[in-house]
Amino acid sequence: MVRFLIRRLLGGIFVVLVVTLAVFVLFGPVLRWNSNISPARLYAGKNPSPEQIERVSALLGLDKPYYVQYGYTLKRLVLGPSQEERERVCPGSTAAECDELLGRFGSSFAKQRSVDSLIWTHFPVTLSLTFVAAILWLLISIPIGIISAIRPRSIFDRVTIVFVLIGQSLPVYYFGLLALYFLAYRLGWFPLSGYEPLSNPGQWLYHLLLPGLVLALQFAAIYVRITRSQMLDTLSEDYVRTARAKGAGETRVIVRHAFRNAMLPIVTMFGLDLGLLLGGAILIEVTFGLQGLGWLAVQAAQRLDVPTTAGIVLFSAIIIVAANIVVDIVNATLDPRIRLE
Amino acid sequence: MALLTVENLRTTFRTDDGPVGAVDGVSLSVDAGQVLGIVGESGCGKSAMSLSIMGLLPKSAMVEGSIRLGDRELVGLPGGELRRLRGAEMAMIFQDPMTSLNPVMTIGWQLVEAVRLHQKVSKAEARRLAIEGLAAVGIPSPEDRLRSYPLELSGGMRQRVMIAMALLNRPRLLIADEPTTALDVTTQAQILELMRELRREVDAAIVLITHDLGVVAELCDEVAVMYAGRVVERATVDELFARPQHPYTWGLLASLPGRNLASERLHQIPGSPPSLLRPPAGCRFAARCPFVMDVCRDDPPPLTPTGRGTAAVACHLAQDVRDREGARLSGEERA
Repeated sequence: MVRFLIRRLLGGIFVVLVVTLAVFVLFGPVLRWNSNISPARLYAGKNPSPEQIERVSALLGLDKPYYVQYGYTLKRLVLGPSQEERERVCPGSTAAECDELLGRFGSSFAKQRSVDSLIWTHFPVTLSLTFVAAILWLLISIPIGIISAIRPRSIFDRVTIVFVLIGQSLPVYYFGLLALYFLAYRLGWFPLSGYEPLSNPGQWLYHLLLPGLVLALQFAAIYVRITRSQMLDTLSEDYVRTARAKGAGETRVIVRHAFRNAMLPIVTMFGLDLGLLLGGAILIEVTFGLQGLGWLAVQAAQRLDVPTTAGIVLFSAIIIVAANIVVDIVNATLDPRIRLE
Repeated sequence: MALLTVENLRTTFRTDDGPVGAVDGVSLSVDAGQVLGIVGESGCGKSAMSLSIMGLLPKSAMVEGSIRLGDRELVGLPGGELRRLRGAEMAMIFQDPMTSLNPVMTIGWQLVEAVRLHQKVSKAEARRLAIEGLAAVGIPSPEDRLRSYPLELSGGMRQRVMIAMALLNRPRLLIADEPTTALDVTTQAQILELMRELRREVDAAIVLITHDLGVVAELCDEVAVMYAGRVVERATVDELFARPQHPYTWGLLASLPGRNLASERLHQIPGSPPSLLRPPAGCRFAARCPFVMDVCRDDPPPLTPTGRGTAAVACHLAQDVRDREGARLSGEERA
C-alpha cells in the first residue's frame, strides 16, 4: 500500500512537471511567435516606448533565455518567489505587501495582485458550487439509477431514460438561462446572480442552489446511466445470488452486496469529475454570475492577462492530478482486488 | 416422512419467443440423512429445479406444483417467509466458487452475515461460529482466514468457505449445484471427500446436482436422471448402476470413460436435446433413442415403478428388453 502510494505520488509529480513545461511553452514562446504577443509589451501599458518595454522585460525577467525563465518559473512554483525577484518587483514594501503582489504563480498583469491571491479569492466560489452540485447530483442519480436497475424496462425506467436524454442533451448555458428566467426572474424563488460567502450559510446555499441544481442535472443524467448499468451488471453476479441464498433481505442484497460492488467505477468517475469541476465550471459560473475560477479564467483570457491564465491552467492541472491520486487511494481502500495486487 | 417432497413441479420461463418449460412435471423426494443425486446434461432443468426449491428464480419464472419442506408448502409462500427459510432451513452451494463470494468483503464478514441473518447472537459469538465452521470444512488457521478476501484463497478453499457458509445455520436441506465442476481434478477429489465426511456428520437431506455419474456413485443414495425437463429414471445408486432402465441412462453410462478403454473413442449420444420452447409431443428422448418405436413419438411415457424397490422409469420399452439391455451394458462396464 505504501509503495503504491509513493508510486502514484511520483507519477503525479511527473505529470505536473510536464504540464508546467507545456504551460510555459504555450504562454511564453508560442504566444510570442504565433500571435506576436509579448508579455512585456502587455504589461507596459498603452503605447509604450521601446525603453519602457525593455525596462519591463528586465523587471519581469523576460530578458533572460527561455530555459533560465522556465527554471525560475519552476523554482518559484515550488519554493515561492526569490528575494531577488521580490526586491525587483516590489521594492520597499513589507513581506506581506509583497505577497499580495507576487506569488508562486507570478503576478497578474491586469490587476496589481499576485495570481495566487486571485486564485485563492475565487477558488472558494468554485469549491462551493462544486460541493453543492456534487451532493445534489449524487442524491438525485444514485437512487434513480438503482431503482431503474431493479425494475428494468418498467415505466419508471423508461421515463428516467427520457429525462436522462434531455438532461444530457441540453447545453448548460441554455438550460441555465431557462432556469434563471423562469425560476429566478419570473417566480423569484432564487437570486438572479452572485455569491455569498460561507460565513452566512443560509445565503450561501440560497445563492448556490439554482446553479448547483442546473450543474447537477447535467451530471445526474450521466450518473443515472452509469449507476443503472453497473447495478444491472452486479445484480446478475453469482455473489448476489449467494447473498439471496443466505436469506439476506432484498434491501440488504441491493445495498450491501450489489451496490457496494457497483459503486467502484462510480467512485472513480466521481473523483475525476470533481477534479475537472474544481478547475472552474466556466459556462455555469458565467451564466450565474458566480465569480469562481472559471469566471476568473474568462476575465484573464479576455484581458490577455497571461500570468493569470497560465496560473489557472496550472492550478487546475494540479487539482486534476491530485483528484486522480485521491481516486486511486479511495479505490484501493474500497476494493481489495486493487489493494492486494 | 420425506424431508423434501417435490410433486409435479413445473417451472416456466417467459421469454420473448414464448414460454420455456425448463422443468416439466418433476416429482421426487429426499429423506433426512439421504443424498439424492440429480443427473443430466446442461439445460435439462437440474439448476432450474434447485433454484425453484430455493425460491431464487427471477420474477419472470413461473413455478407451479408442490414443493414441501417438512410439512411446509414452499410454492406460493410469501417472499419474507421464504427468505427466513433460505440459509436457515435450506442452504445451497453453487458451481463456481470463484464468483460466488462477494469480492470486496472479507470471508469473515460474509460468514458472520450468514449467521446473524438467522441467529440472534452477538458479533463475537457469530465470529466464533464462523471460525468453527471454517475448521469443520478443513480450512487451516481459520481465525486468520476470516480477514482474508476471496481473491486470496484458491478455488478449493473458496468452495470450502461456501460449504461452511451453507452449513453455518445447520440447514435441514442442502442443495449442492455442481459443487466440484469448476474445480481442478485434485481439488474435486478433496471436496468430494469433504462432502462424504460432512454427509455422515450433518443430518441434512442433500440434493446433489451433477452431470458426473462418478460423483453420483461416490456420494449418493438415490439418483434421478433428468432429460429435457423431466425425470426419465429414478433408482437407488446400486440399482441404477446394476440395472439401468432408460436408454438415455444407458447413453450416459456408455459415455463414461472406462478404466481399461484408454485407446477407445468415447461413446456419445447422437443428436442434441429438444428445444424446450416447442418440446416434442411424445417421449422427449425419442429423436435420439436407438430403440425408438412409433408409440414413443406420440405418447409421453409416464414414470412407472419397475417393481424393484423405489426404482421407476419413463419408457415404453418392454421390461424384459430394458432388463436385457441394461444388464448387457452394466456387464460391459464391469468387463
